[in-house]
Amino acid sequence: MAWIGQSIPRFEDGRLINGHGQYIADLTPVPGIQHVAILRSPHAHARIRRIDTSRVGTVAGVTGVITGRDLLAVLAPFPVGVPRPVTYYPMAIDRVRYVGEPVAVVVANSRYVAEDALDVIEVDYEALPVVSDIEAACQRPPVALHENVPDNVANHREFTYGDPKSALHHADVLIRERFVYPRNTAVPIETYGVIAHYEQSTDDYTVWANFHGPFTLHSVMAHALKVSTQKLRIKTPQDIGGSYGVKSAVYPYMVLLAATSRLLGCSVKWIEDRLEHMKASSSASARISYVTAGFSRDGRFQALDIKQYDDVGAYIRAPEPATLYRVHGNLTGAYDVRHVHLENYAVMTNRVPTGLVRGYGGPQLYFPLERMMDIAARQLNMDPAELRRANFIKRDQFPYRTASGGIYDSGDYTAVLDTALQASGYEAFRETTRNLQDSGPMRLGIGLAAVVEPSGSNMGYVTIAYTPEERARQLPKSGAVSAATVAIDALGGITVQIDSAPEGQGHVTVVRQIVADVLTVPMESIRVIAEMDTAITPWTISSGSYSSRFAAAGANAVFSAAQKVKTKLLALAAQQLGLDNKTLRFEEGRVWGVQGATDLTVKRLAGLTHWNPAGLPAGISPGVYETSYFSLPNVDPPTAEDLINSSATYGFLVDVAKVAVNTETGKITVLDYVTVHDAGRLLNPLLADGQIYGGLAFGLGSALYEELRYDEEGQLLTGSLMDYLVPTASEIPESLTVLHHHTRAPGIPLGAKGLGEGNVMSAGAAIANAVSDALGVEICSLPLSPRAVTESVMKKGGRG
Amino acid sequence: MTRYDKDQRVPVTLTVNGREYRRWIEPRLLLSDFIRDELGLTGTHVGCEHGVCGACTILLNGTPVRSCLKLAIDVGNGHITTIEGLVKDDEFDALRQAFSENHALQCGFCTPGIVVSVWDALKHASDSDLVDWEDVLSGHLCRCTGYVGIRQAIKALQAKEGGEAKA
Amino acid sequence: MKPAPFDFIRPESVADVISILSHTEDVKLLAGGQSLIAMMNMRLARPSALVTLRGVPGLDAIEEKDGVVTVGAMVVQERMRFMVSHRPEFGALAEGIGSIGHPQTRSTGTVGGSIAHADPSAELPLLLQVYRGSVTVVGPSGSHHMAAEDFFQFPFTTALEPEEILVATHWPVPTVSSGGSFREFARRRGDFAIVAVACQVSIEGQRLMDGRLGAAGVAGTAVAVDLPLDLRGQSLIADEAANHWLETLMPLLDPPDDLEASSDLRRTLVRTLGREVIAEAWVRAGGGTT
Repeated sequence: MAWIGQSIPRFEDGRLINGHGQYIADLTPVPGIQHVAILRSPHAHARIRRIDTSRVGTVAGVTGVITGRDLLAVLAPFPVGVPRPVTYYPMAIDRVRYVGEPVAVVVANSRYVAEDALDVIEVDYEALPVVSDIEAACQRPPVALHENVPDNVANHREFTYGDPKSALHHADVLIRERFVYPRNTAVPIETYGVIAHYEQSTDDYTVWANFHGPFTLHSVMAHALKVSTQKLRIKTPQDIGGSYGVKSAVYPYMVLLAATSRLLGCSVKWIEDRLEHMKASSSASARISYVTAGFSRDGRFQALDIKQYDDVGAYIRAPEPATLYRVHGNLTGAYDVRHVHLENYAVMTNRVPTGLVRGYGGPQLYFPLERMMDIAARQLNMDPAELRRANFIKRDQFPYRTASGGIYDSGDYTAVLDTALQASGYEAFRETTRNLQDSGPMRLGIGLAAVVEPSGSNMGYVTIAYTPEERARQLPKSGAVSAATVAIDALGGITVQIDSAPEGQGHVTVVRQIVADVLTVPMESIRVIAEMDTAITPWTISSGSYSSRFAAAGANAVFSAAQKVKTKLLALAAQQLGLDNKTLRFEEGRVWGVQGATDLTVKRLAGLTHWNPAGLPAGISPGVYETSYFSLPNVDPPTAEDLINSSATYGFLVDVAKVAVNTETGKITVLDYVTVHDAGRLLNPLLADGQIYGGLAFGLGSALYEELRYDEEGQLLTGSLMDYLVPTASEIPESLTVLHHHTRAPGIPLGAKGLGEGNVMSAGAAIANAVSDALGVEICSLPLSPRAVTESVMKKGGRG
Repeated sequence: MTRYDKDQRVPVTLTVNGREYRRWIEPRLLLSDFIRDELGLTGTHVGCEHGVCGACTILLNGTPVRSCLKLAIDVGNGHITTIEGLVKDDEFDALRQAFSENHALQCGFCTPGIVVSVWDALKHASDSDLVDWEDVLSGHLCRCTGYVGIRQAIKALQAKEGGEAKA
Repeated sequence: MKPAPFDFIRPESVADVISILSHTEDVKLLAGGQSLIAMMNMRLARPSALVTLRGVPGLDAIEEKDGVVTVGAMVVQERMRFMVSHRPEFGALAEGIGSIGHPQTRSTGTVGGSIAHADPSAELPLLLQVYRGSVTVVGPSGSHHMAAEDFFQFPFTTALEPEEILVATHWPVPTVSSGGSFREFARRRGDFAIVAVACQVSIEGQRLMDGRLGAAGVAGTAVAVDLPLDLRGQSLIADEAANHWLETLMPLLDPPDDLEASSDLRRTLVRTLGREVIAEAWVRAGGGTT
């Protein structure tokens, strides 16, 4: 029975539905745990004149308190991934740079008491000017946030591919527009949580956290803790209550709690409060993009120039400025454009530092790019779908090297577009709206977005923040690797250890499908351990859950490890049977030869390696414990020409959104949404669709509802779940269609590409295109609140 | 009239999942923390502590409420059912199966709260054939599923019960 | 976050409550707690003492007498909704309560708590005004009645004196030939309204005899106006009549300007939703649509 490719309900579900999940808040892994509350800055930018913690001890139940200066005894600043580093500690030292920045840590016998003690700490602040405007910031900043970066620009790079200057000069039609993508965030329903234990006698740390990688950050944490890496053991709980990237940024708190444990001599636990999370965890980068695109009169997309300013917040925190570079290889989207100029600015402001959020770098790129295609279509008097089709990379061009170095492995973009147009009734709807007379406040519109969806990040892409000269002075970085171990015990029980620390994606189920297929055993015989323990789990710097990497990387590591087990057991079988192992195969957990079934089973063969290792032939080692490190193909370091294949594989999707817009009230109703994906082979279609629905809900949220809004003093205005508007069921349209194409990833054994982020990249553009179509106004910013819509209508002048 | 000092430990008696518990607590202890920390019933999750996310939803005297917006001291002698209590019901298997088959959960953090609300609405659906499911679900945030699988699971359960709710 | 410490008081009677209110500083009454506990968890509210109204006799009854439904302060919203959902003459009230939060908050959030909290965008204060309701307040000098429009004064501020407690709200039962409608504009289902409007009319032989129109989210308190005298006896089929009525409401508006909606958008919403509720109230009252 082939399990791979089937819609198997999840093995994880039973215990999660029953309330038997084990999340970080549920754990008490060491005795004597004390509880942490964190005092946070009320100012976006201020000097700390004095902190008086003397009354903390008067609160019954308090163990101790530490402030920023105490950290200097045990911590080094975090390493930072840019040539102009800033000094970044997990708690403010003498100066606060965003509202919510930690200022003091109180440890007590309960969270209630720890919060009480925060009230008696007195901090004397001297307010400083606040940096909030990212364009102005790098021209004439009101104040430098860090001594060694006077212009607040943490990273500036310029790239030229082909001859964009000349191509733009000769283009018949130039489109120029400014786009604003807002700060939004992931809002997992479980907040951050950390438990830390410092063992004084051996000088080592154990930290439990709902952290899911990238595990390259392990070395960043060890560096900050000033210990060699084996002295920092990170363990993840069995279950993580959602992340969508944002929990990768729990790592400064892991270091803060580790340092607290050491300084106060007790084990400590911190479960982040929702208000802390909204204010001070992490968020996506806001971006202002200036896009110039050159087209020939007949609609040929000839050249692209983008200048982008990212708001990375108060500190450039690893892995930032990666938002600017994660999609560097697929900068030109689905289009065959050879002349590109790009200028990137990572600008520091008095806001919470940014980091991974589902789609990472994608929506910031595709919102402008795909909006720009619609603007161009209108100016060229072409249908937006046809303009896209005319410029798509064609099926026979794969593998396709993009101007900036991406290697698109496979695809059939035109076919996906056709499916999407057909499924949505695109032509008929356009025909209907063309013939509609404007009467009353309602307007109808339809919008498209076409997105090349990267998955399996190349660890080398982050280094493109450095110039080729700067890179030449460092060791090269590359790769997209995942590790897995398949072990069989003496009685045939199979255990698989993976390195992905999942948070709901169903990795356990998919691993069982894969191993069951390779060894032809029942899924019930397989146990999967998906918790990470850096002291035990085989892992590498690229381990973890991010960049939609499991289907492409993790699953193939499992597949490869299972193949190793199979090879070993068949070799043993061949020796036992006196047959050529090439003639042997597994079927229903039993070895088959050309004559049919033999007496040997997987259980028996594995048992031989445990019970009678002395009888094993030469070349067969005792036990069955096979680890594979699987490396995705085509993930080299950046070249001297700044070419980088930033991801190992690239899927594709086309969305079609139909909306009704009330021009009086500004209300947008999504009438129908079609999304057609090509992520190669689907390992489990039920789970793949679940990822797409989740990603789409995110995309719709960012298009219509979600924004971290700040006032001029840098105070967060949308800091609770009452005003940061996460969609509820009622905000998700009932009319949703998900369809698939299956162009396999040619260089990847299982043929699957990643998915789950694509609609975060596409939905903002598709909805904005539909609303622009409805209103006849070019929408250039998100989210489309009633206020934003009615103001756009007014700007257009009295229509409706 | 009884007055308890803020530092005083107060005896409360609550029936949770059919078992009577007596505990000494501070007046300010939230019901959600009582359930999790005093009783060790960690299936009730805390996601916001301001009454929006719905992860901490439990049944109090038979109706769904946010346990983060109740004080344990203020529900004295109340009857509480948490996810751990529902699981014991024979009819729970159908709900579990519908949620799993329709992939109505991913990370599972919001799930116990949603299951409590859905369970309650289904129970009411048997006396009145009209449940406003959008109203029921609007009280819960799920960030993984886009609610698609949850809606499908509810439809499957409705079909099974032969109800006519507008899922 | 967790609430700051507080003393907890369990009174046995309304008299006990008044005595506590008269003798204790910085005390808060706890009804359903759906707003108060959230504020306390955020430590934005830090009463030194909390007085639970749960179990205080006489606060949780629903009674109907002489054409008035009296709802005890501790009656939960969902119970009131269930009661009025079987009464077509309370159609707007049922719709309005159904828009408060979620079933999981209405199950324990109380009618009296919402009225006394006086959130300017909340549904119940608006509905109480549109139904020409009133409240009963008890204080050290006894109990007295107060009309809804006198009760609500400013955002989150009512005419209640510090030592007084709201014990009941009163909802006159609309006449048989009447109809009502409620609409709100919110970003998400269950959110506080950006704008809510409600209308109740009574008609006789296709002629308007009486009516009340109100809006929430557009001023320091919910606002409402009676049917203008010059519309009395007219047929509401004409749009101009609805617009005319709405224009009498507009001067009472002082709409806030915030992230979600500008003042102008709020005014527009009152007009747009207002036309809808007037038209629907008319039809529900038995008015013809030509």
